[in-house]
Amino acid sequence: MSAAALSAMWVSLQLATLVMLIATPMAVALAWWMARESWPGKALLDAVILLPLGLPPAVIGFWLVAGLGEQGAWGHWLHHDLGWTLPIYPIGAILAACAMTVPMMARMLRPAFEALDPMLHPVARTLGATGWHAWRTVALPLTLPAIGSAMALGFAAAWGESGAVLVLATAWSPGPPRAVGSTLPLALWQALSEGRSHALAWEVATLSLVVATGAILLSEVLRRQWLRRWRGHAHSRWRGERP
Amino acid sequence: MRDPSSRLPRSLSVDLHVRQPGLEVQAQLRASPGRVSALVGRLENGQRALLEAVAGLRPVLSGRVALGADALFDSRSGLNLAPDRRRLGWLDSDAHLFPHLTIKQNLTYGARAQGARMSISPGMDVASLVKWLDLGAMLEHRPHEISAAQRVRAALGRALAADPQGLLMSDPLGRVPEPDRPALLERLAQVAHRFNLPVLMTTPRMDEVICMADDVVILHDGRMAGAGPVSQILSDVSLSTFLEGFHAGSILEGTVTRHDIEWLLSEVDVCGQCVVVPAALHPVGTRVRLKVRARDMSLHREVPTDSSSTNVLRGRISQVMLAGQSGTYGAVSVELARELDERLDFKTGAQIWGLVTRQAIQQMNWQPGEPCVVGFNAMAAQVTPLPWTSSKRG
Repeated sequence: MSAAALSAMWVSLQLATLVMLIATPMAVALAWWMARESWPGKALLDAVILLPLGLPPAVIGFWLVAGLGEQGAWGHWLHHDLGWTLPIYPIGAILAACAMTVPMMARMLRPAFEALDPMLHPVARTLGATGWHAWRTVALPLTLPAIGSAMALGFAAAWGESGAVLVLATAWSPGPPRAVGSTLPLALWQALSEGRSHALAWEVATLSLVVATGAILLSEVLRRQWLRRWRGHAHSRWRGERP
Repeated sequence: MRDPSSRLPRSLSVDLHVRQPGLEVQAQLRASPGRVSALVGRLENGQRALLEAVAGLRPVLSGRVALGADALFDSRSGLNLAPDRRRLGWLDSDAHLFPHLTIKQNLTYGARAQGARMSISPGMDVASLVKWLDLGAMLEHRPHEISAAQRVRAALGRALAADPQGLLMSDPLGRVPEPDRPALLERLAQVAHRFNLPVLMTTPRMDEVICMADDVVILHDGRMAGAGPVSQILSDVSLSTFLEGFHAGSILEGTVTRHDIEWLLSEVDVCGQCVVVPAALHPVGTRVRLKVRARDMSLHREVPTDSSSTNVLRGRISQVMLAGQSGTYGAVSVELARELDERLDFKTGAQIWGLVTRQAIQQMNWQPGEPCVVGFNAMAAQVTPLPWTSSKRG
């Protein structure tokens, strides 16, 4: 395996792991909040949160550039007043990948939180548990497999995220991205656009396939475990008579 | 740390205005330690919403909830304690045991949750609770492996083990199959007295109110239609008819005085008059409530000599009112005479009422103030012990 492919894989791995770690708490918090009782206007806010799912990733990348790039509204301020420019790697790439991953994970986790008996949390509160303690000891353990499943899928999504990062990379440094800090998709794009060895492209593609397959399989296994657990409980809740 | 004085039992007083979709509920009720106040209505009429508001689980428009002199919620001063600081136990028909924990872990949840914050263990003795609620055999099981009745018992144990200052029960027997109800009801009826807690409850079944409650508040369209002691409110002609329709009637309170072994009958002293009922297993001295349906009553001027009505209660007609469509029948209220035995102090006096046809009312020419005799069959009386007077309590 070539050094370029290995380096790209390493970068992608770091990126995907970081994104997963950052996106998970955000997605869990969002999903929990979205699953709670509704109030007027909540549907609109839900839609805004889920919006990135419906947008081409390139548009997200474009908005990130427009907002945080050197010429962007906030980026300008950051650059001139704080002397800080958003680097594409790792922060830009992480932001781009998070913008894509968080809504997806939140959407995936939402049914898990919605399926929870809505009285469990209040009952835990009446027993003397603070909101956080009740959440940690009731909602979290009951949704853990679903969270694991969402994490694995989030990892796969971050691993495969290319559109937004690609736009970022293009906007930052027109021309082919640098070898350092290019993720697998970038490396693939680079290899193809330079018309270089197709061998590198194949390596990169195969690696991607293996990792993504692993992550998605893990996600499915955990999702099934959660489903089985939930069905068992739901079944017993309404059964009434002796087992 | 909690103030030690806060561990003294205190009464729970509620005066709340709650909104739920399509209905605004406004009610006042109060329960002293060891007493049960029931909130009832013909349908789900915001009773549960009100209890949820008391527990702090639902936003409130205005009002006040207080334990003794300490407010838990007060819209005027803006005080609104979180549910974990109100320390009011919650029990409803779904039990809501934590499905990922064993019954034992469920029972100790409150202690762990509070220990995490206060580093003191609650005073409730879990072992004795397990024994009282007969949970020993299922401690290591998970909630979905046990029956509905067992789940309610476990949930009751969990609420009590958290050392609450009051208990809120919203139709706790709603999902328990019929055959399992009486045993569970007996335990539920003992809770308030045994743990000296104020209890607020709701249930759609009047027999549970008769068995458990001391006081009752009737909600209709979110407003209070009546409030007072069970024997008074559930013997009221219009309230009883409103709640129970065909089964409307009166509640008489009395004491078991004698068992007749030969005929398998029991005698109950009501206002100094003797009521005979089918043999009840309650020991002599037990306070009981008798439910008699209005349509099972017969009215006489003199004590009938040749009748299957074993029971004849003497009294005075207090009210005659026509009811039904275009007055097809009438309700006759009778204030029971208190005979000789004056040690039973019924401040409100015992009331009993019967439904008779308009024809009977006219032919007999019943008028308020007239003395009369109410007769009913021994089999017409439904006997419910008041748990805190039964010698079975332990």
